Order: sequence, then structure tokens, then C-alpha cells
Amino acid sequence: MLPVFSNIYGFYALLGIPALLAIHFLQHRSKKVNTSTLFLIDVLIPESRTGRVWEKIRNSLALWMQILCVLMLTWVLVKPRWLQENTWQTIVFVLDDSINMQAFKTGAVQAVERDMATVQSSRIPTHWVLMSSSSRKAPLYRGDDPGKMMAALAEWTPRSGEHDPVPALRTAQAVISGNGAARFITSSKNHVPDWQAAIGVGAPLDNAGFAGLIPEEQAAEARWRVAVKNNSGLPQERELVTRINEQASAQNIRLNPRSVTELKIQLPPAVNSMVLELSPDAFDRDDKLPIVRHIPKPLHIYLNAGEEQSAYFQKLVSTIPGARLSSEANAHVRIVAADEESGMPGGPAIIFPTRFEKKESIPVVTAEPNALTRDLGWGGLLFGEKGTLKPRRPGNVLLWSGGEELAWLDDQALVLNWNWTASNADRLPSTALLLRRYLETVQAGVEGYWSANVASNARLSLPGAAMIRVSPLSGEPYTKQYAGYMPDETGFVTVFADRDMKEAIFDGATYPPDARQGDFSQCSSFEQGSLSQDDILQKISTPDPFVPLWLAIAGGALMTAWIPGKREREQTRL
Amino acid sequence: MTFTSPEWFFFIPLLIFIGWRYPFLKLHAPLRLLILAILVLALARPVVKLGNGEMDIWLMVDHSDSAMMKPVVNTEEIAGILNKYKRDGDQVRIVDFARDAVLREKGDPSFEGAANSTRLATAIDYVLAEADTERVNRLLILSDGYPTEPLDAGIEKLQKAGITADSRLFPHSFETDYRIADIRHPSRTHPGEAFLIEFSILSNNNAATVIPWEISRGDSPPLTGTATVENGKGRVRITDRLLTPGATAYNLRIIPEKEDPIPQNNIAHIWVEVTGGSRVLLVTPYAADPMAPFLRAQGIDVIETNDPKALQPADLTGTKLLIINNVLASAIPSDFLRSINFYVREQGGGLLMCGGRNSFGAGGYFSSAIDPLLPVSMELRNEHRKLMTSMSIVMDRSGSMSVSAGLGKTKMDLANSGAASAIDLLSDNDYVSVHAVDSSPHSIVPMTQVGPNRAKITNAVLRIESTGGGIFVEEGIRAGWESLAKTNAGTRHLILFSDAADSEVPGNYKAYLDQMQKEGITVSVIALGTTSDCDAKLLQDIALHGGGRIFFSIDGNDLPSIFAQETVSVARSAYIKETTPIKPTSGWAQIAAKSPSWPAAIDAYNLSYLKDGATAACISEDEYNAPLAAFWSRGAGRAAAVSFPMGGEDASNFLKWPGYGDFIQTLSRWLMGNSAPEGFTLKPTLQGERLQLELLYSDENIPLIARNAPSSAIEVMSPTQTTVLNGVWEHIEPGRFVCTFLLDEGQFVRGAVKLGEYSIPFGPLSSPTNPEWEMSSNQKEEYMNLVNLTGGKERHDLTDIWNEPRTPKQRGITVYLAWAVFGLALIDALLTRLGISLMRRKKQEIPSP
Repeated sequence: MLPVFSNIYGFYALLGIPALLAIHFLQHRSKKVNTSTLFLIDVLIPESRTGRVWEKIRNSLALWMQILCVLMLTWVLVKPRWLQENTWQTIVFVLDDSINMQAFKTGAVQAVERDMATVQSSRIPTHWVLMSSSSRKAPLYRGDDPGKMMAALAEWTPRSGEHDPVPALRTAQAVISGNGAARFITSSKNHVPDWQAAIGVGAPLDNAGFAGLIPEEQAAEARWRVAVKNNSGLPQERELVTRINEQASAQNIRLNPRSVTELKIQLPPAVNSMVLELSPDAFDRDDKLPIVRHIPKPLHIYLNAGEEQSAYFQKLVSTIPGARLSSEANAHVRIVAADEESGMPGGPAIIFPTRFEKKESIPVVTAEPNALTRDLGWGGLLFGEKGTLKPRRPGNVLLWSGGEELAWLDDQALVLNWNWTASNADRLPSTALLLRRYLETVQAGVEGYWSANVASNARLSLPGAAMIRVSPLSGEPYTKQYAGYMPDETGFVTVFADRDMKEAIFDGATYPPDARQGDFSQCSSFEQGSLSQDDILQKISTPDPFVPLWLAIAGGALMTAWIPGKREREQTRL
Repeated sequence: MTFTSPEWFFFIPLLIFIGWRYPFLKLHAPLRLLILAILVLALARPVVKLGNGEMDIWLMVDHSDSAMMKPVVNTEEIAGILNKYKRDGDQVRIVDFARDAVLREKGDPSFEGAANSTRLATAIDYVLAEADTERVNRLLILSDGYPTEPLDAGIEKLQKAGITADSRLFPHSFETDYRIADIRHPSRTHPGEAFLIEFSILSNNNAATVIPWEISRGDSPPLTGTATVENGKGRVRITDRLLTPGATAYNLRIIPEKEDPIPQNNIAHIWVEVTGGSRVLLVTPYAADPMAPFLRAQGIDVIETNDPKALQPADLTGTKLLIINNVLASAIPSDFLRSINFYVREQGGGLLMCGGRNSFGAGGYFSSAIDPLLPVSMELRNEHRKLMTSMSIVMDRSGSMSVSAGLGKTKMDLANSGAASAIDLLSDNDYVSVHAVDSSPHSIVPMTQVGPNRAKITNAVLRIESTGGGIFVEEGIRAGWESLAKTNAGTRHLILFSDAADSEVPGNYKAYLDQMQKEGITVSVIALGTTSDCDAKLLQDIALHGGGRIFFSIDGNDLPSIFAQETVSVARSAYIKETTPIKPTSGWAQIAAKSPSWPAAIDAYNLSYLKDGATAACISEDEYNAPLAAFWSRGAGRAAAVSFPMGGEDASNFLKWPGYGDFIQTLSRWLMGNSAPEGFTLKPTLQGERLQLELLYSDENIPLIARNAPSSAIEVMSPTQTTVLNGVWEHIEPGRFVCTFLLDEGQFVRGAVKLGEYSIPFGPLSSPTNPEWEMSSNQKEEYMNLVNLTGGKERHDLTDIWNEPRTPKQRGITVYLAWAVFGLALIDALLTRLGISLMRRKKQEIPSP
């Protein structure tokens, strides 16, 4: 194994070799030696000829020994260290997964390359980890091959909205366990905790883009308000192109600095989708907005309750997009009165009791913490008679009346155990919200076609979904197995119930999830902390044990170099 | 200096022999001799020792509540054994710690710091700051092994410093412990809405046991019941509802019939916030404040309080406007004053301070926590001062003053800074004396005019050191009085700074104080501690008889501002009690469409100055042109100052003004600000150490969100410190943002979500149980990690600790010597080549034939 050098400045000692050569190029200075004329001066051959300082270098033992001495000293001075067996360091690069990093990907790659070069120059065996700052994403690369890591980096596309990088940075610190370093590559110093070494690769950009889609009240008319935000400090004139099928129409819009402009748009009849495009700027991710007509998922409701209840539920059903009354055979959910004797309906249902018992006093109604009852007030619920139904299993109570169960979930059914007609439940907002939440939950679990505009990367439960076809606005269409999430790209999607992609169950348009990512005013380039290899080297290596030997050899070489040549010795003798 | 390989010195005779045997090598030449000498030295691998290997054992004694004094009572014995077996030059140094840490030789023999947490990492930092890095240092921790703060950073610091931590554990022998855990309750609810409070009772006893419990709310009688604890667990559920908006605290308690070894974990505290409505909290000395009816006439719920001492930060929940009407700053608890800043700036609340003899500078609000919020500055300018002041400062320098107050400062340092800031606020013509008192008074500064001596006086005060023992109060008062008696200034005042838990020998203080009052000398007290400390009553009595104020400071960090408040209220404030004409300005038009017909004059007012950026609605028509009604926006909230009295006898003219009601209604409406827009719902949830905020918004609010991204801030309050943290909102899905904070257990939190100009406040929330009594296996594991990872061990044989290897800090110098050899060798080569000799040659004689 080759050693690593903990003091690379020691290599400057190698400059001693050219220095020695230069010295040996110099002529020996002539010496005055008093001698008798009787002695011929054979031995006093002048070593210096007049007129020239430099002479041709002559091979000599002294020169070679001096060079050996310099080499030995250089070896000692660079402080070689030998790595212990099975030792390595871990270098973790945490990449800011915010979408706005798409504008700075080249800078991010260069920053990683620079750090890699520093690390590789230390020649310490290194495990490389490349991970995203989004704690929801798996590491992009983990291994020993820097080439593969760079390949993973090249394929990386940041796609998260604003998020807290600290959990991922803490994970990175845990991964290195004090034996390596973690670097955060980001676009803004605002994202970096004080304790984290980081490189900023951002810069302020004048960007404007779509910031939200607001459906108008009457959704069936497919009208929206589109928010366009100018994040820069300057007014912008932009062209807005509306593409419907193959036709495009353009208009110019003026966007005031740091303000939101709302545009009204409407889908023509018989058209199901459109794309809005702003003329491009430095960040193109928010310049396109695909839109599809909203078609709600069907929910068939069988209603068999008393007259008053029926009127109430018909009104409630009319407020739920996609819901309609149907026969019992086709129903996804039943609204019925039932009891244990007549048999409780299976599957999703809203059940009322058929028999009641009068209550002398009405105890306080208390809600259990549950998604269906969250933030709803029950203080105003007045009921004179309580039903005789009892929960078949404990644990799913939604409302208590004193110590008795008033409403609960029985398997998939919602049981409201009081006399509806003798209560004020039909005038209570909480009751309507509870019923609506329940029906929407049933609707979400129903298999059926619908379409909607959704945020990219959003989780979307589509029962029975098998495949998804993604048609990004920038890039080639592709298909893959549906994993419960919308794609990261902006574009159109179709989800199919079968692998042959014949039965579509969802059509959608995906838009950027977080409008804040279009604001580059806080982006900057900076460096916080350094990637020092010294501490790590000390931990995982041992110093060269033969330093005394090299010093002894250097001394020996030096002394050998001091042995004068034959003539010099004779001169000395003279 | 020592040598790692001294055997290489055997080369020296060999080199001498070579030099003698082979003279042509010229080893005797100075340069070559030097080269060889350095080379041999380098071969011997010299190291320079940074110390002599003497060892310091840092005996860290855990004084926290959960340790139950076991380490403390054994300290003397352990220190005795260590001292008996130590070697020459070794030392045993005792550090007492719990929430703070102090070296015993610097502090009291008995530890006076708070014991409600085990801050071992803080104590390690303290030791690292005190340790001599050239000596061998080793820790011996005497503890029950339940630290209440993370130790990761401490472990790393010890590892880097090469310091080993040994432990001597004093474990608890619990037979059967019952404790409250897993508390569930809504953090927010609506008025009148019933909700559930649930908690578990956990035990290490599996046998079925009936445990009585009680739950109390405020001053109401507690609700009681029993729960059966079986297989180590039982559950309690109750229903309650709250009718009025605001925050309500619940205290949960279990009462095991057998004696419980850790009664402290039998209690828990929770908060429930009732949302809705907007109310005004009116802090007033008047039984029927004249402002209240006019506020109520607008349909505002007004909570009047005549007992400012009972105020707590939670009272600001549901409050849209806080009015402080002529109430002394010292009468308001410091944590409430501190919480007002966050309430206004982040939670969007309004603050109105109304004038009177007990408000503004005269009321002690200068340099208080709310000074930056007020639109007027309160310290009297020098050119407006008419009376000379003599002030005597009597400083406690007892042992408790040497306790660390963080950032490397002791409480004595902070008290010194406080006294220095008081001196700084005195004018050149004023006089001051300073005494440091332990068992007798020591004159630090005799009664001296401040002007030419300000720097000298300040330097002397900043050098006061704690010397141990307690403060002899009578001696201190007498010394201060004698100093003041030497002057005949218009205002003569004594500030007694003393430890509320260690103020001794009061003697005949009442007689002194009565005599001082007769001579026109007033006395205020700044007490280090709380009102529940053993000598607090004495100090309160001194302030009462002295005709001054009393302030309590828990940890000393606010001492400089308390000294400043007191100085300004005595020497640099002016309550002008004379009929003064009012001059309206155009400023009122910023908050109301119509300017009122102001009254011609007011009876009195507090002289103050308009701050930059503030707007005055009217000013005094006298030589000062002082702002009488001023306002401005601060963060998300608004603040106003009415410097003349709005009630009491000094407001008789103003109360007769027909526009009084309209004035207060208009001002309060503006101060209450804008309500949060419709379509936003904030859901704070505290689960363990994780506070999650969920912000839901309707589609209609998308443009508002696009314009103003939400931001959130929480104020984390402890008895001594207030920290504001900001969070990151993640856009989870359309209509839903989530923001998460990680909190330390036991922290009291209030917060706000800001959406541009709007603010949605929430809280308070707090971790229901005291971490000191959590005593979980995780805490124990972390403690043992500290010991193991630093190379320490559990010490049973204490004598053995001195035999541990002592590796003194060393630095090798071989590389420097190698550089020297390298350089000299090159020079030698050059000189040899050029034939230059450094030795004087003998004149060569011609050899005879």
C-alpha cells in the first residue's frame, strides 16, 4: 500500500536537488598553495580556470550522495503515514433538493468535483455518499466509485418544494460518524445551519412564473384564476401563450415587481385540456402550466331514510362533486335506518337507529380525536332520544354522550345513534361536515374515472391503479408502474387500472408544487467550513516507523559526500 | 524535552572516532559539526513536553433533584480518599453542578444553583474552560446517571481534548414507582366545546393496584377519581369544557397510597387554548379603570387586573391588546414583561402604555424588556435635568455570586456590569458611592462626583470579586447611608443588591430605614433569586420601609437592565405635574379619519422623547414639545404610548374631556390590528419533543400565499431565558403547509404564524412532565456512552485512579530539525564547492625540500 503524506509542503525540499546541481555547476574556486619549486605541481592542477564561473558538471560521488541525502530528508519532511488496514473515510454530499436548484445544477456538479479532487489528492480510501436534502428520498449513490457517483449526480434532478434540510444533514453527520466529512450543496445561505459545512452555488435571478391555480366556484364551467408572480424587483413584460390542442394564441402581460397578477381562464366546451406558457426566463420550471377539466369521481348513494332525513341528504349529496343518488344495487354507500334484529348493512353506510330511548337529561357530547371529528364542535347538538344500537367492537367511537356511545365507525359504516328527526342535527354545521367527510372518504376508496389538476410529486390514492403514463411538457413521454405518487415533472398524466393501459381511471395535469421556489432573491454563492483531511488522516493512519533509518541514511550519505577526492586528499596532505 | 529514541546518542562516540580517524572528512568544521549534532538530535526523536504530567481529577458532583443528595453527601469522603493517595503535584478539584456549574473553591461550600435539571454537558464545558491544558485532566462524575441534556457534543469535546470521564454511580433502589405518562389532550378548542384529557399511569409493579388521581384547573376544586393499574399500566380519562377564550392550565396528579420513591413524576401540567374572540387585558391600579367602559362599549371583552404580580405569559393568549395603565415595572413579573416583545412583534398583539407617576421612566420601564417596543424614549436628557442625585450602591459579593451565569461570566460579573450601567446613566454632576459587602462593608468607591471620575469608578466596580460567605445586610445599609449622609443632593437613593437566599444579619435595619426616610433617602432592592427564597421577605420589607422598589432576578442575566431601570426611575425621569397645554399634530390622521378636538390642557405628563419612525398625535405645548400620544408598528403588532395619566387624580381634566371615549376607542381599534383572513386554519400539535404546526388554507387564499409565503416563529421560554426559533414550512399538498420544531422537554412555548401583515398566534404549549424526573433508560444509556467513549470506567477503587497512564501533552520537533539539516547541508555543499571555510586557516608554511 502506498503511503499518504500529511505535510505536502515537505515536497518543497526536492528543490534541493536543482540547488545541488546548480552548486555543482559552479567552478571550484582556485586556491593559493605555497609550495617549493622543487615540487612540481602535478597535484595542483588548477581546479578553476580563469574567466568562467560555470563549468560542465562532473560526475562525482559527492553529488550523488548529496542528492540521496536530500531525498531522504524530503521523505522525512513530508511526514508519510501508513493507513491502517480496513480504514476509510466517508464523504457525504447532501444536495439541496429544492426545485430552484435546477437552475444551478452545473454549479452543483462543479462544486462536488472540486471537493472530490481535494479528497482524492489525500489518497485516503473513501466511501462516497450522495444524498438528497429531502428526507423522503433514498440516497442517490453509496459506494467507492467516484465515477459512478458523478454519474448519479449527472442524473440527479432536484424536485422538492421548500423543505427543512436539517433532518437529512443530521443523517449525513450520523453516516460519517466523525470519520469523514459532510458537505451541503445549496443555493441559499438561509438553508444552512451554522454547524454544517456547505457550498452555495446560487445567484439572484429575475424570475416570474405561475404561482397557483384557483378554481372558480362553478367548477363545471371549467373556469380558473391563474396566479402569476413576478419574483424580481423589476417590472416584466411577458408573452402568455395559450395552447389548446394544436392551436396557440398569445397575449402580452405586464407583471409588476414582486407582485401577484391574477388571470382568468376558461376551457372551451368539448375541450378537456390546455397549456399556458410564459415566455421563457432563467428558470423555466414555472413557465408552463398544464390544466385539465375537473371531472369528479362518481359516488353512488342509496338513500332509504325518513322524509326529513331524505330531504337533508339530497341537499348534502348535491354539494358533493360526483355524488348522486342511485339504486341499492349500484350504490357505493347506503344511507339507511337499521337495527341488530333487521340486520346491519355491510360495507360503507350511514346508519340510523330504528328504536330509541328517551333521555331525561342530555349529557355533554364529547368527540374522540379522529380525522372525521377533528375541529368540529358538538356543544350545540341537542337530541331528545338516543338510539338503542350498540357498537359491535370497542375502539372506534367518534362521539360520546356522557359515558355512552353516540356515534361510531362499525367496520366501514358510520353509525349515528340518535333520533335524527328529534334532534337539531340538520341545522348543525358539524353534522354536515362529519357526513361530508365520511362520504368523501368513501368516494376516495371507490374505483372509477375522474380527472383533476394536482401538484407534481403529490401523493394520490387511486384504488385499483396499475400503470401511469406521463407526458411531461419538457421531455419524452414514459410509462411506469403507479406507486401512489404523481410524477415530479410538470405535464399530463393518465393512470390505468390494467397493465395493458386500456382502462383509464384518472387523467390529470401536474403543476409545480411550491410557488416559493420561483423566488431567487435570497440565492447566493458562498463557502461555509472547509473539507479538511488532516483530522481524518490522523485518526486512520500511523506514522512511518522508519523515520530514524531515513535520517541515518541521510547522515551517512552526507558524510560520504564529505569524503574528498584523491587529489583533494593529497592537497590536504600537502 | 525528552527523547523517544535516546539510543541514537551512541552515535556520538562513533562520529568522534570517525572524525579523528578520517580527518579529511573535516567533521570538526563548525558547519559539519552542527549538521551532525542536529542530525543525532533528530534521530533521538526529541519531544517537547507541554506540562509535567501532573494530574487534575475533576470531581463533578451532581446536585440535581433526581440525584437526591447521594453524590453530595459522599463528596467529602471521596475527595478525602483521592487527596490521600494523590502524587506530588496532583490536584483534586471539585465542581458542583446541576443546572449551572461552579468550581467549589470559587463558590459557596454549599451549592446554591438551581437543581431542577442535570446539565452535564454544560458542566463539562465549564470544566474544559477551567482546565489547564498543559496538565493531565481526568473527570470523575458522581451522579445518579440521568442527564437532562444531550451529551454528544460533550463527548466529542472530551475526546478531542484527550480527557477521560470516569463515573461513580449512585443508583436509585426503587421498589415500586408510579408515574404519569402518555398525556393526550387537545392543544386548542372552542369556547364551550367538550374535550377529553387522558393520561396513563405507569408502574414497575405488575400487581393490580388502585391509584387515586386528581386533576385541577386553576383555582377550581380538583376533580378526583381512581384508576386500576394492572400489568404496569392504567388509564385515566376525563371530559371538560372551557367557556372563555384564553389559555388554561391543568395540573394532573396521582396519589399512590404507599410511599412513592419519586413523587416528582406523579405530577404533570398541560395547557389548553380556547380560541375565538378578541379581548383586552387591562393592567391597572384603579378599582374601576375609566377606560374599561368605553372599551366594553365597542363589544370588546375587557379583562381588568389590579394584581399585576399574578400575570403570566399565558394571559396573553387570546388577548388582542395589552394596556399597562400607570403600573410599576417592578410590580409586573419579569417573565410576563419578557413575553410582551414576542406577543407584539410575532403574534401581532397591541400594546398601550398610559402615563402616570408609575409609568415610563419613573415606573422603571427604561431598559426593560418592553422599552424597545414603545414609541418614546424615556431617559431624561442632560439639558432637561434640574436636580442633582446622589446614589449609593451596596453590592453583595457573597459566595453565591461566583456561580456561572453562562458565556464564561459569573453572577458577580453581571452584577458589576449592572452597577456600571447605573453609573453610566448618572450625569456628570451626580455623586455615587459603591460598597462591596460580605461580613463587613468594603468601600470600593467613596462618595465621589461622577463627572471627572467616571472611567475610574467604572473600572473599580467591574473588578469587584466574590469572596464567599453571605451578605451582612445591616452593615451594607449602614455603610451606604453614611455615604449618602455626606451629600446634600436633591435626590438621595440607595440601591441594595443582595442574594435573596443568603441575606444575613439584618440587625436593626428598620430603625436605619426609618431614619433614612426622615432624611429623604430612599432605598430600593435588587434581589438575586425569587420571591420564594428564604430571605425574600426580608428584602421586600427593606424596600417597603425604604420607600423604594424591589426587583427579583433569577439568574442574573437581566441585572444590567434592572440597574438601569432603577437608575433612570430615580435620577433620569421626570413626571411633570403641572397643567400643560396640548398641541395637536397631523399624526392622528394616520389612524383615524377625523382629528378629535383635543382638550386644551392636561394635568401632568411623563417627559419623554419621540423615537425615530414613531408618530406623535399630539405634543406638549411647553419648552419640551414632548410627545403626549405616540404610536408605531412593531413587527406584526402595534404599540402606543400616552404619556399623560388616563386615570386617577392627575387625569381630572382629561377625564372631563367629551372626546375621552372616542380617543381610547379609536386608539384601541388601531392597536388591535387586523384579524387573520378567513380560510386559514392553524393546528399546533405537541407530541413528545416534536411540535408540528399544520396550516390549512382554502383555494381562495392561493394568491395571498403566493404573495406572502407563511413564516413561523416560536418563543421558547424558560425561567431564565427566552429564545425565538423560526421554522421551515413544507408545502405538503395544495391547501396544506406543515412546519416542525424539535423542542427540549419542559420548555414553555408560544408562537405565531405570519402571513404578510397578518398573524395567527397560538399557544402556550409545554411539555407536561419534568425531564429531571423522567429518569429514562435512554438518559442512562447516554451517560454510560459518555463514560465508555471517552475511555473511562465505573470507579469502585478510587485509589487506583492515580495509577492511570499519564501521558503529558507532547510535541515532536524532529521535522524542524530535519529542515535545519536540509538547509545546512545545502549551505555546506555550496561552501565546499566554493572552497570557503568558516574556520580561520593557519598560515601555511612552505615545506622544506
